[in-house]
Amino acid sequence: MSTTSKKNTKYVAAAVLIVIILAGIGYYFYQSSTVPPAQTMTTAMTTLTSAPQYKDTIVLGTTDAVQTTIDPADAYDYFGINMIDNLGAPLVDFAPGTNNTGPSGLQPALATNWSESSDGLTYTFILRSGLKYDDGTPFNSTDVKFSVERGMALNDPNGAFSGLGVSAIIGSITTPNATAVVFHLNAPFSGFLSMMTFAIMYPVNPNKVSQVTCNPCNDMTGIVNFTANNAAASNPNGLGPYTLTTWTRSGTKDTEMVLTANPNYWNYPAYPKTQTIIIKFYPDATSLAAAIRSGDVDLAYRQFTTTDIKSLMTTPGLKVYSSPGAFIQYLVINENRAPFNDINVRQGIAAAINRTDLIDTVFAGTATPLYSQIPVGMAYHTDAFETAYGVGPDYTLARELLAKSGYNANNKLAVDLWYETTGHYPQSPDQALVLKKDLEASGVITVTLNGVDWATMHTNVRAGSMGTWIYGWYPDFIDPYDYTTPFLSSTGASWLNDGYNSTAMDSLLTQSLSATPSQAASIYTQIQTLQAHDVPMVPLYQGGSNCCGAVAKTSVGGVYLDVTLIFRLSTIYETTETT
Amino acid sequence: MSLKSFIVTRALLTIPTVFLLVTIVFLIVRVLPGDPALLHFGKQVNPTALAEVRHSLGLDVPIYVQYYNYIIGLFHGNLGIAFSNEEPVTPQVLSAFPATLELSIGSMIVAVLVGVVLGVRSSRRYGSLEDKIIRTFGAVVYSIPVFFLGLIFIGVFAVAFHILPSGGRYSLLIPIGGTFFGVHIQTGLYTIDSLLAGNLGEFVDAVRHLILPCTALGLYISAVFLRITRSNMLEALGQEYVTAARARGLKERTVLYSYGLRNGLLPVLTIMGLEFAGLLAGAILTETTFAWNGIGTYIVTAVTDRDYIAIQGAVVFFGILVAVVSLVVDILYAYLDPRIRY
Repeated sequence: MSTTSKKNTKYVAAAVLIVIILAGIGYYFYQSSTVPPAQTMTTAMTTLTSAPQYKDTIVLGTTDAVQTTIDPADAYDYFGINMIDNLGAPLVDFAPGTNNTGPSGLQPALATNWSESSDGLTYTFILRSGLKYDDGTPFNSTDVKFSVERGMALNDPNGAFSGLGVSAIIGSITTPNATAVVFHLNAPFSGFLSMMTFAIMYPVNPNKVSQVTCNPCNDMTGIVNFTANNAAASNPNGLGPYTLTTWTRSGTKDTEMVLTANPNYWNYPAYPKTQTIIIKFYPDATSLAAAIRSGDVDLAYRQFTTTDIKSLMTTPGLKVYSSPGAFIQYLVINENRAPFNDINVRQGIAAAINRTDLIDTVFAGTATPLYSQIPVGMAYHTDAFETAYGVGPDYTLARELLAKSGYNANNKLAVDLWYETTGHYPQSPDQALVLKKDLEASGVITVTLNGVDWATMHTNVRAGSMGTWIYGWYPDFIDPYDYTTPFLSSTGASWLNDGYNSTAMDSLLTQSLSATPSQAASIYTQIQTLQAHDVPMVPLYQGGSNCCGAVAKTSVGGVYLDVTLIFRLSTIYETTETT
Repeated sequence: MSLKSFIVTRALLTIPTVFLLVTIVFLIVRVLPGDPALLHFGKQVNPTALAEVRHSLGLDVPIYVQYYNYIIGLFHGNLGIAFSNEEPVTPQVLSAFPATLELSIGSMIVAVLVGVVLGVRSSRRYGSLEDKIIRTFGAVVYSIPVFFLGLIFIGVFAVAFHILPSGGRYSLLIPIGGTFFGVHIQTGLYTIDSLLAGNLGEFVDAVRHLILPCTALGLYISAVFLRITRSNMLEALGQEYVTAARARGLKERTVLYSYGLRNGLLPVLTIMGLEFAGLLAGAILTETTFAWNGIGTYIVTAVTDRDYIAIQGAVVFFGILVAVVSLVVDILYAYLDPRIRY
């Protein structure tokens, strides 16, 4: 071998060795995340300054995407609704980070005052005067009337207006003058003001949408959809803290959104805190976690795995925000199928549920145990299941209840437990495994697991072919109505197809619609107690970092995660050193 | 057979290939369980609305009618309407294609450069330690899954050392191309668009985002080129015309590249065509790992959404693309090596 070739061989060998060593070191750091990212230095410098400045731009990463549109008349997906929350504005709103989601927790937004008639049938809102949309179009009360009537007329069968039955709730809308709008309801509806905070009720810019002449309409041609290379035409909102200046898609995936401060926002210049928000979209939790670790994004919101959350919690320079949000998961028990039509069986399962193990094992302790269908933090919540069955698991109680129906160690209750496997809910397979383990620990229950994709899950629910299954719920609006009637009403809960039909429950739900706040407390307590007794479903947990958490550089502030599940971009800022 | 006849025959053979591919894809996506129409509904399903959705998606007609409608649509360049968002598939696929094309081109450059250079060196040092190291390198990169290699790269270069971005195609704002003689040109290839805009910073940013995914995918494919190049070079270097060239006193470099490599590279050309199909499989994993929104990501999303039409559209698009690339490569090969026609 010549001298040159020997030298080359050494170079190649050395190069291969260096690559292997670098890979090993890097992978070690990647897994353990013990290397302080560069943003730690930024934070350290920031703490030395007495008057921090806010950066002009924040880059936000997410695995979410707009499913179809950000038109309030059609959007019914989490991220689409959230974008409307940031690009539009409601008449009334809950304060960021609020724990009070009852009527007294509402604060002015587009409306400065509002009142309810004594019979609960009329709501009057007085609007701010002189407001404009982001394109300069003047805003007045006719826009509110136009927007809501448009949504009701289009009444997209897949949209929120149809899903919530808004047309059945609102009878008519009148506008006595340019700053007054009056909603006349068909019947008293105690959740009306909460419903007005929901993004679908946000006014749209009449210059951005076509006039709707049909009612009801047979197609959705009036909906504002994504238009390539034209963010303004894709966004019919315009009263919010931000305006949409860029929206690009590749295939069906959003690739970038750029939001810039809207100088016509009613609360400008107090909000937004950051001039420009760039939203980058990631395909999965792993790449999102890598992006926040590497500093590619300043802030990451939804969704992470538990492994990532655990690791990010200990990563210097980053802060994990857990959400007490109103996302809940629960175990549905199908009363249409034996043996689940037996109340002893349902109560026995409820007693054997171990929420603590579920949350610690699957969600690294970031979620909140749920003992009612109405989540913690929402008005009228009571821990009805804890009252009935304890913190759980109470295996003695479970065995006693199941023994009444002849189940024991020699004749175990066979439970078929179904869950989705396509990531629609956070870590469903892991949840199912923990539930199986803990139910079987009772010694009188045996569980068969069945994982199916989301589409099959839907099909099975309609077919009524499953005994029990793990399901979840993102709120439409923050009111106990949205957590009771859709689940417990004999008609409103038909989508669940779980066979629950209780005259007493239907009566309570009807009463809840016209209840005053003081009456509502008693009625909703009765509803939750009755649910814990009948057990058509067992609440499991709410919130958590996996579903609704955020991770940000420690230099980022103003991150509010509350029960509303609205991710408010207008409050977020990143401090920088004083110049 | 003349070159012209060869081209015609080869082109005609592509038609049944594509037709078979379309049929298989059409049937496969429909044997999957679950009702895609239900994916249109969030929490509540209205039976009337469900029937309307089935009708609008063309699911309420027999499968052979669906097949007929699909084939007719294909002839019009219509890949159908996506179930998930009720928008035409063709523009969706076309909007995702530049990302995958840019990734594929970059990966192919890495693969050919690494594969051919190491293949030549390996053959030149046949039996030596360097040859063994290179062969080991080839075996290692080919056996490591692309996504794992990608994760290692992210761990090292993005998370640990902050040298390169962890994913995506750009840092802040997407390059929007440039306007020439009143015509706006935007290719969707960010390296090209940034140059068209005359923005060197954007170009560097686009290249920085290309390095890790292209290296991960390119290294994986380079192993194939390495082996093919090495074996063909060894065969070529053992030929009498090489011995004759050396006997005539030609420089070793001239012998190696003008006599050995020129002949040894012909099979590499064929492999390039075949590996283009392999790039798709690799792209699905690479795009997911590196948050690269191309056709690979599009397919993954479509599969998750049980979007028959979107899956069909993307696979058929790529199938046709691979068939066309194979056709071009075969024709090129026939042109370069007349023996192939006989």
